[in-house]
Amino acid sequence: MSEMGRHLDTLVVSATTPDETASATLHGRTRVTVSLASGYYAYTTDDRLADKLAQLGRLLWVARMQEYYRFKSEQLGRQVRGEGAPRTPAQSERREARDNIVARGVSHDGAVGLAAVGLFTWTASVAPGTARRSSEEEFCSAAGQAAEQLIEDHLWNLALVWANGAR
Amino acid sequence: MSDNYGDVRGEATTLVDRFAELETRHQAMLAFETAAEDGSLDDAHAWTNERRARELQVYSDQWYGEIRSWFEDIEELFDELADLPDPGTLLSTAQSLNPALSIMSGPSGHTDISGGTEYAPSASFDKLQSVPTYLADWNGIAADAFKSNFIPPLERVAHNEFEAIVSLRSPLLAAGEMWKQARKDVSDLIDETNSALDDYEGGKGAADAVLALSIIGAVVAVAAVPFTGGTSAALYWAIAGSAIGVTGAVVGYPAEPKKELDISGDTPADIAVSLRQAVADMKLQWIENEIFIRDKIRSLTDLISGYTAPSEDSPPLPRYPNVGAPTSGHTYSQATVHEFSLPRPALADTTPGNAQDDDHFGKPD
Repeated sequence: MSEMGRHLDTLVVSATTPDETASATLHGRTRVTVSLASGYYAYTTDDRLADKLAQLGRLLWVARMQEYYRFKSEQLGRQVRGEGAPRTPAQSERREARDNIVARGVSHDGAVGLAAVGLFTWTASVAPGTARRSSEEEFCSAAGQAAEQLIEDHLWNLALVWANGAR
Repeated sequence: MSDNYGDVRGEATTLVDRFAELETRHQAMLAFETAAEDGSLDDAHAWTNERRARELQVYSDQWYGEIRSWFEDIEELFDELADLPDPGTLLSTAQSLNPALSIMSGPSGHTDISGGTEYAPSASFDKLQSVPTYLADWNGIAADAFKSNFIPPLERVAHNEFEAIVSLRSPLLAAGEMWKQARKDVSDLIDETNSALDDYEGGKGAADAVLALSIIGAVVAVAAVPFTGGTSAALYWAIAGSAIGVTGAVVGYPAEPKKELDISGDTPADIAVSLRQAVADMKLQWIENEIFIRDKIRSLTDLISGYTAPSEDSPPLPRYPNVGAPTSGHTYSQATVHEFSLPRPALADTTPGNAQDDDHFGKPD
């Protein structure tokens, strides 16, 4: 296990929506917790919740990428902000394939579904009536389950795409 | 940047484990995709978490041992890099020459141009100015020769010896600095390799920047100090002996085969290839630096021994008497030698038996 490996196993990064009604935190590689501003859940709708989750997914992954390069820069003693330009056509094809990986996750009760393309574009669905039927705690837990499943799905597909893109 | 040099062998073993682990996963992914294409397995993209873990384990159990053997040479590679010369010993040897500078600072003191240290006048020369007075009553051929040939150049020769010590100390400093930076380069190489593996593992393309070898600056900076300091040493060597020209004192920089090492690759095995290449390039640079230091020592000792390079237009070519290389192009100047060590007075070897011989004082008229 490398320093980066240990760091990714234990890092904690958070993101909050611009209106500060919803936050998400990534613990380690895949575990995600979601929380809402006090009192928000009682007056919101299923669609608004879905919209918050889609925003959180994107913001959280951006924060995670920033943390990756911040730690890498610290390790190497020089500023690394991201990938360099691809050097071969094969490399750009491989990156394109990676950016188009579709990953999905669904909560155990099926109430929350998440999908992401390359972890850049996120969409979320919240089953009709969830906001009225489930407690805030149940909803946040379901969102976390869906996110964790989505990340695992993405990482597996990433391994497949990244290896086969080098052929 | 972390300092890994203390445990290079341990770091190398960890690195080999990582190469093996990531390459095994890489090969497994290729195998799953191929199997899906020819229909012997279902689509790996759709497997459950349990199935993914199980298939990976089966593949790894079968192939990990063989795949690890692909990378085992890396441990040997770093084994050689784990016991580089200790820069501390070289640097402290260089410093042990400083007391000699205190003695050779002459009757009016002197500044060490490489470090800017000022040395006070040496007590050993206190009486030098008064020697003619003390010897006022000593007359004759020997006395005249001593007073006119030996005393006046003494301060100048001490001055030249001071500069010679400074110059001959610089290769030691350069070698010390070189191995200090070489250790840092080895340590950086490990960090950069781990970083490239991190990028592979995380599905990221390599970053643009590459590892700049710190060792190159090291030797040029230290070894060249007394020679390229504008009017300082080059000028000094120019005036120290009539036969020494300015160009004859400037030693060229070491050749630079490669300044930067690029550790990257699309697969763990590719990254290992670039690592092996980087180690080879780094070692070539060390050889270049050592040749540079060796030639510099030879050129300096040539100058002090009165031999100068064949041409003022070419860089100084050290003589290689020990290896039988051509030495005929060099010119010899005894006057230059005497700028560093005064001729031994005939009086020093005179005994009652030979005092009147022709090669001593001869017979009185």
